[in-house]
Amino acid sequence: MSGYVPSALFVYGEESAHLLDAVNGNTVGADITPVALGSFLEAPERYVTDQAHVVVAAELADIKTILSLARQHGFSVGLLPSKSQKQLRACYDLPADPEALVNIALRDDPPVMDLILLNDQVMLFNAVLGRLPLLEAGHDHSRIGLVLYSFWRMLRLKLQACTFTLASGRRIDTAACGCMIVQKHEGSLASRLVARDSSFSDGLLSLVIAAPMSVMAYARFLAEFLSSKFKHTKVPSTLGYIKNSRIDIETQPPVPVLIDGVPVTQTPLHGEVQPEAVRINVGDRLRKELSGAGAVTERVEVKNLPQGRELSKVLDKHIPLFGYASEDRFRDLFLALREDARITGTYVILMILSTLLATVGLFLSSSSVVIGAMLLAPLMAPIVSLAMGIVRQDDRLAVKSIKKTIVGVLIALTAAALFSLLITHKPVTPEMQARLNPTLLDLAVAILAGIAGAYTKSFKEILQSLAGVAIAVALVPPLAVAGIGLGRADFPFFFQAFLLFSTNLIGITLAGALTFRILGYSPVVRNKRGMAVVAMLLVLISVPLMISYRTIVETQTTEKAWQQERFLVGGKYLIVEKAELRNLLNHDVLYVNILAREPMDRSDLAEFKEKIQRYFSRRLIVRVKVTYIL
Amino acid sequence: MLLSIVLVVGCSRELVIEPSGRTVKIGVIAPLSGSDEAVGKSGLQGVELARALHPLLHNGDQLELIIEDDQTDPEKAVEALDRLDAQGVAAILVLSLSNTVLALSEQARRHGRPLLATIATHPDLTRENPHLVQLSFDDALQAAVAALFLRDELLLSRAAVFSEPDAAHSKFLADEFISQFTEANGTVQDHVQMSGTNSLEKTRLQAMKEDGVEVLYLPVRAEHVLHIARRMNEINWQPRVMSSDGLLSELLLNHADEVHLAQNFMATDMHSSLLAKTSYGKDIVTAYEQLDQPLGSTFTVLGSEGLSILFTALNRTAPPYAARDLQRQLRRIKHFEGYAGVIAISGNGKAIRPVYVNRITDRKLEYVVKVY
Repeated sequence: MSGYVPSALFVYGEESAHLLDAVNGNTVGADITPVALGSFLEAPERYVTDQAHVVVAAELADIKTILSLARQHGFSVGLLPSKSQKQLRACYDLPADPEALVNIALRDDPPVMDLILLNDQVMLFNAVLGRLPLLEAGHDHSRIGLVLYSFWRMLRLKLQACTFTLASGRRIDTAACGCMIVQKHEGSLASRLVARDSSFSDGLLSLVIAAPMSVMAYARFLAEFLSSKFKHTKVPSTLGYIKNSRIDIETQPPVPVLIDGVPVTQTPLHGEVQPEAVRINVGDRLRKELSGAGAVTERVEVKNLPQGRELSKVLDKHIPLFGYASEDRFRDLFLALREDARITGTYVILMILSTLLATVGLFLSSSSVVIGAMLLAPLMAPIVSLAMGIVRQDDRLAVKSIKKTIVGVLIALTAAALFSLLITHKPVTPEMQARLNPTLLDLAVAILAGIAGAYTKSFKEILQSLAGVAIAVALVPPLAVAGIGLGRADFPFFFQAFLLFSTNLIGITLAGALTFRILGYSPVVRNKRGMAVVAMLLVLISVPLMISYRTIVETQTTEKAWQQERFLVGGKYLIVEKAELRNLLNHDVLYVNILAREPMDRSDLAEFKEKIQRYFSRRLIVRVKVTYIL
Repeated sequence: MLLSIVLVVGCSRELVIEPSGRTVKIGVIAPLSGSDEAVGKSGLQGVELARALHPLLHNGDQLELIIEDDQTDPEKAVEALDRLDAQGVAAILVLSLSNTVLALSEQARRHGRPLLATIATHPDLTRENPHLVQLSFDDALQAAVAALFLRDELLLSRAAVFSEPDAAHSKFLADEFISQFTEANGTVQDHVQMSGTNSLEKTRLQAMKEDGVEVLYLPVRAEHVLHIARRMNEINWQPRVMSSDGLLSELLLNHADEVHLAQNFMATDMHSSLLAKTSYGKDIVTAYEQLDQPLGSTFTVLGSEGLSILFTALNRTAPPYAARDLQRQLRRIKHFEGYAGVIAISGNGKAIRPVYVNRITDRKLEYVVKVY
């Protein structure tokens, strides 16, 4: 149980003079000698010779001066923060109640604490160099306010060259947008990062270094960080962390350093810890923490920071919206993709088998057989490689992938064409029809498949065959139908299916490329030629898409309008349930499902057709399916 | 004002035509006074608007309208027809209801002048009369659509019918509906003949309710519909209600404060409020907006379509627009772009156009189905 000092010096600034009565009238019976701050600072040795404990109520800068004197002269300190000194009160766990505050300040067993000096200036809470959006903000902002405040700042972040030299002499050359040295700053979000790992008396200072590679990466980190589930055990991917007894920081060019929110110096910054330099009375919670604090070791975690060859590519540029990746960082993936772009015997065999199986399935109009063919198709590999080649502007990879894809396409077309030559009967099954009339949903399948392909390739733990099937769904059946068209020498048939295939292929490739870009695989240096290629592909794809889209919209508008159409034919009331207009072998075929309560005879059917034809400019073939309502 | 509308709406689409100096007289018979005054004036507004869109034929001849008020009296209509004939009109637009047009039908045979009836729907209009063209659909079709929609689409089997025995149109619709509905194995539990506006006893309606009547067919005038609606509310009964063409237009023109009584009533009609319009339809709407008037009724649209069809036929006929030639051209129109779709005129003088089944919702006709 704490006792109290028998006597103490009370050093007060002008604005704290009102506390005289409270301190003099303290309930613990300590004998107080009040001294004006100015007088004390002029000749502190005059006062501290007889007094071993000083209670101080003054501005922060003056408190720091007194702490330096405390280190020098060996007296202990009790603090009386004013109402506006919330940070100080929070840092030392001091209460707001004046009587309780005075009692704590007069205790006789103040814990020993380190003093951190930065360029010989005392740092109590933190020091900030550069910019760390959100991290340097206090707890007292609302979350939404914090996000809004930081968002614009995130977009303007730049990485600047920094060198950190540790007590051991180790030198770390890197780049960062900002750093924060943290003592035990209760008021900032950054303190959450170091909370478990720091103490007032561990003889070390904590340095958090922010070096996000992209705005998205930083935003992702902040989202996790603000979440209540954030675990402090691992250093987040956009940060570096150093815990050392001495750190020297150099930047090019020099940047201002804010110590406890005040710009008092600039880099180069020399930071060192004066271990067990002062004794300060603190609140009960902090006192307990300090007494239970275990040994803390030095830490140097800088693998997330740009180093080596990467460094020259990131310096002095605004961080991009999406990340980039160096080959060093993702070596295994790039090697795997290069391998995927090679044409092998297995690839050829699987293409033949999957296409033949798909062709059989199309003739049987069996969706399950067609699905089986998709499981075999090896198309994912070259297309995902092509997507990565486009993103990385790796011409070699892209060209190899394109060649492999073309070989696969030619094999598929040939196999399907030859197979269809063997079948004398030339049906157009529903499975085939579905690939002759592309809808926007087909394109949606292609885009989602492309995203899936790129995403699964990026994460080894995901079974990649799953995405491969998704890609094959969009490519193998239309390719097989196109081959059938070739085999029948029916070029409109071939062209329609091949249009669907090529639209899907480009859609998958671009979706995959975009996914890789978002996941952070684009190179640091983007050149205009790569973007021009992407732009040209986009234009290429938009032409058939626009044609398809117009047709699709027209068809869907017509089909939707049909649902409210009725016909009175031969005195019989016919309800159109569904109508689909399809183009089949250059003929417009209207498939109509109707509900009726009476059977129709030949003249009814003729009248029905005549009524339908009246509203179409093109000649129609009409196919009617009747369901009777009872 | 109307001419300026032409400049706004018409000029961008048509070549500038030089006036020839000749005039083609077109007669218009409409009930501009009497009980159908609102109907007639509404239709006439449509005619005048169509004329403003096309003041000149392609050969530069100008259309001159000679308007006669039939005072909602068939006898007066016949006199008007005689006067118009004496003035040498090329054709006559009739904006009156079926009773009047039936009376004109015989006279038209004598005069031999082409008559185009815009809103009359009685099937006998064009029977053995090569001089009359009917722009609206036939009542036989309308009644069949009503009966079979209720029977085969809504699967209702018990109906009650109301009619006005003195109105040919109403009587025909009621009889035809009963025939079609019973032929489709439905039952008509009651047939009420309305003589005055307050002739429906509450007890009779109550009996229908107790008999399980599911739908009321009301091919009667708007005031009768409102009277029945009030009686329904009094006995707290809300069966389905189907009425006939022109109901909402009549309600809006003559009973604007009570339209809410007909909320959710269904009606067959030539048009619907929310249909996609053709370019012709958009021109009409734009022209009305220029006049700062809402496009109030089906009668207006039919008036516009009537004159526009006549205009089409005149353009295909050489001066002096002999009656026979004009009649032939009228009955050869196979693809006229109307307000919301294509209209054709068959060889027997009847318009081939769909019947809309609408629901009256918030003073508009909400399209339910379209029957060809």
